[in-house]
Order: sequence, then C-alpha cells, then structure tokens
Amino acid sequence: MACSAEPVRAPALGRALSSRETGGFLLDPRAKLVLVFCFGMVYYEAVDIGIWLEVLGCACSLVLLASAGRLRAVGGFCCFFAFTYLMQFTAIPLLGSESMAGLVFSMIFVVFRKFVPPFIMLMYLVLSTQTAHLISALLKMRAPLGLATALAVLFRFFPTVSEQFQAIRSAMKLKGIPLTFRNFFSHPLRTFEYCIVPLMSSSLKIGSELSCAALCRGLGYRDHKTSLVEAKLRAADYLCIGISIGISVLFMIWKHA
Amino acid sequence: MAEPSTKKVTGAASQKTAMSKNFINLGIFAAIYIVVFSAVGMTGLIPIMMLLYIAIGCFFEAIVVMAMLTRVRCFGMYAAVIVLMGIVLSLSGHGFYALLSAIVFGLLGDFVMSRGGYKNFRLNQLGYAISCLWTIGPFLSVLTDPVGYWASIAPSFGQGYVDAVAPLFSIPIVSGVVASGVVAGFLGCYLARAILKKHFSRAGIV
Repeated sequence: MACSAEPVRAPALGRALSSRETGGFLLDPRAKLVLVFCFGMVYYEAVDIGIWLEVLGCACSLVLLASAGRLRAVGGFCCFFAFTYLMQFTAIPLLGSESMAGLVFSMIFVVFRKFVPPFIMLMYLVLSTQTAHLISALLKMRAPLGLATALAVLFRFFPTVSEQFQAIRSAMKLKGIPLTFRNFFSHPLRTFEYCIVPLMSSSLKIGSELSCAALCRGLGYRDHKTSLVEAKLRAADYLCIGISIGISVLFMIWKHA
Repeated sequence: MAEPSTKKVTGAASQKTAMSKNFINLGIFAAIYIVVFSAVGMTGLIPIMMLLYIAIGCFFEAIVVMAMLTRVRCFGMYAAVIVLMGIVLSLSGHGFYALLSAIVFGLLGDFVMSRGGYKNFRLNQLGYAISCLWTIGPFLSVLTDPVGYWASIAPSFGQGYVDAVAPLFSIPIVSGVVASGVVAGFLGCYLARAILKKHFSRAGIV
C-alpha cells in the first residue's frame, strides 16, 4: 500500500503555523486585533474627509478578506460597492438629495455602505483566525483564561449561528411557514418565536456539548497549558502593528491640530 | 487529615469547571445577542424604523438574556455580554461612548440581577430594563457636539440628508427612543418568561 510509505508522526507541540494553515497572510491574531481595532477607529473619521479615502478603506478590507480565501464573498462585496457608488453619482443627484426618494436612496446606498468595510474587517478577523491560534495568542498577551475562552467561543459561534439560522429557515419553509417579509410583518411575534426558539434550544445544547468537549481537553486544568499551535509575532506582524498604530496616531494628531 | 484537603481541591476544581462552563456560555450568548441586535439594527435603514429599532431590539433580546440567565448565574457575565456588544458598536463607528455606556449600564443591570441570585424574575426584569439604557451610548457622540458632528458628516452624506435627519437627533427625541427601549425591554421579559415556560421548561431544557 502506498500509504505505508510515510510513517505517521505525532504533531509537535508548540509549532508555529504555516501560511497554508493560517490562510494567506501569515498574521498573528494579536496583529489582526490591532489592525481591526485601528481600522474601526480611523475609518469613520476618514470617510468624512473624502471619497478617495473611503474607496481606499473598502479596497484594504477587500484585499484582507481575499487573503482569507473568501473570493466569492469578495466578488459580492465588489458588486455591492460598485453598485452603490454608481447609484450615489447617478440616481441620487437625478432624484435630488432633498426629495424623499433621494433621501431613502442615500440612506440605503451611502449611509449603509459606511458600515460595510469595518464589517468586512470583522469578518476577516473571524474567518481567518483558527481558534487554537487565537487562544494561544491571547494567553501570550497574559489575558485571563476566561476572556480567551469566551472570545474563542464567540469567534467560533458567529458562523454557527448563521448555519443554524439557515437550517431553521429551511425547516420553516418545509412546515409551510416560510420566513418572508409578509409573514414577518403580519405576525411579527409569532415569526420571531418560530426563529428564536429553535435557535436558543440548539445553542443551549451546543453550549453544554462544547463545555463537555472543552473540559475533556483540559480546559479546567489549573497549571500551564501547552498548545498545538504557537502564536509568534514575526516581522510581518510587527510591521502590521506598527503601520496600524502609526496611521491612527498620525490621523488623530492631524485631526485635532 | 487527608480528607478535608482532598475535599477542598475537589471544591476548587468543580468551581473552576463551573467557571469554564460559564465562559463558554458567555461566548455563545454574546454571539447570539450581537447577531440578533445587528439583524434588528439593519431595519434601522428604513427611515421610520430608525426611531423604533432600539425598542424592537430590546424587546426581543429579553428572550436571549433570560435564556442565558438560566445557565449563567455569576456576577459580571451579563455585563460582559453588553460590553462585547459595546465593543462591536465602537468598532463599527458608533463612537467610544457606546463602549462607555455599555460598561456602566451593563454592570448596573448585572448588579441588580445579582441581588436576586439571577433567579428572581422581578429583579432580573428590572436589571435587564436598566441595562437597556446602554442604547443611549451611540447617540452621545451626536448629542455632545451636534454642530461638529453634522458638519463632519455633511461632505460624505450630502447636506440634504443632514438637513432631514439632524432634527431627529434632538435631546427629547433621543430620550424618548431610549426610554421606549427600556419600557420595551421591561415588557419583553414577560414574553421571554412565557416563551421559556412554553418551550424550554416543559421540555426540560432549562
């Protein structure tokens, strides 16, 4: 058999992740946290200065998301940005920004777009970070274990919530009570109950299962824990942290001067 | 002599286990809380909903919080959920006041809940209603410096938009919106209790 050629080796403890495993850019979770934080701080201020800064912010967030390997999502966001900019410069001036229709359009296209790039950054943070890598990085920052656990579960749980919700939606469709705007507005309480009750009950169940699994793997162990992956700050991480903090500080100084 | 010390270790270990479970549940419920509030917040794009979505959000979040309180009964956990929400809001452009008010009102609400050991419905309801006051945070950056705020967003959003929306962010209207959130949160607890009783207690889940 061909598979006997390579002897099975136990994974080494404390090894650093390869770039294939982290998905694209080899950034440490700490560097990512600083990056996302600085982006969130600066972007909203920068948007008000000029549209070219807004486009730059959109582009940066999309490049990072692409580095996490989510090309389909990047394509979708590109279409969204292109469409909203097109609307901003064609439809809204035509309708007149004082008219009701123009107002609703600028609400949807201009105001909503402002919230998208930081959302993409959060998405990048969640999608490109392995749970073990995140915990290892947080523990190296001397964060309490409780905080590391909660954040790791939080990160891990966003995709789960959306999966659960998709399953609930198809189950509702199957039962003949599809989740449509009409149903939502005619029976808001009932529709919400149909959505939230399965979501809560499955989440409660996942919560207890996750606790059991984590405790089996030694979450309650009091001494120093080893990790399969080790978070290491490299040159690229220092560069990323330096650039993020540098831009934020320069921006704040420039704004208040 | 050996027995008491063994007991002590077991006690500490089981406490540690309970804390680990609390933190896992905290992560899960924080995720649900953030997702539900963001989903409701999306409806704020429709002009009239802008004034209503806080009340709707506080009303429906009551179920999430009440379900959480059946699992997590430890001081600081509920406050941590609100603080995480505040962090997400601050990072998504609602200003640092969002985080500040989340810390203050989250702790205040948690304190009231803890007086009843998280089991007293009245105190839980009161604590939740108090913690709903955190929704004032995102408005504070507008209220503290209205002229500067509107002048700064006018270039990117258009003067027409600013002229139409700015009158909505007066102190009476914002207090009305936040107060409606508190009242809705208070009433939402009744719905939460009914739903938990109907679906979870009978099925033996909580």
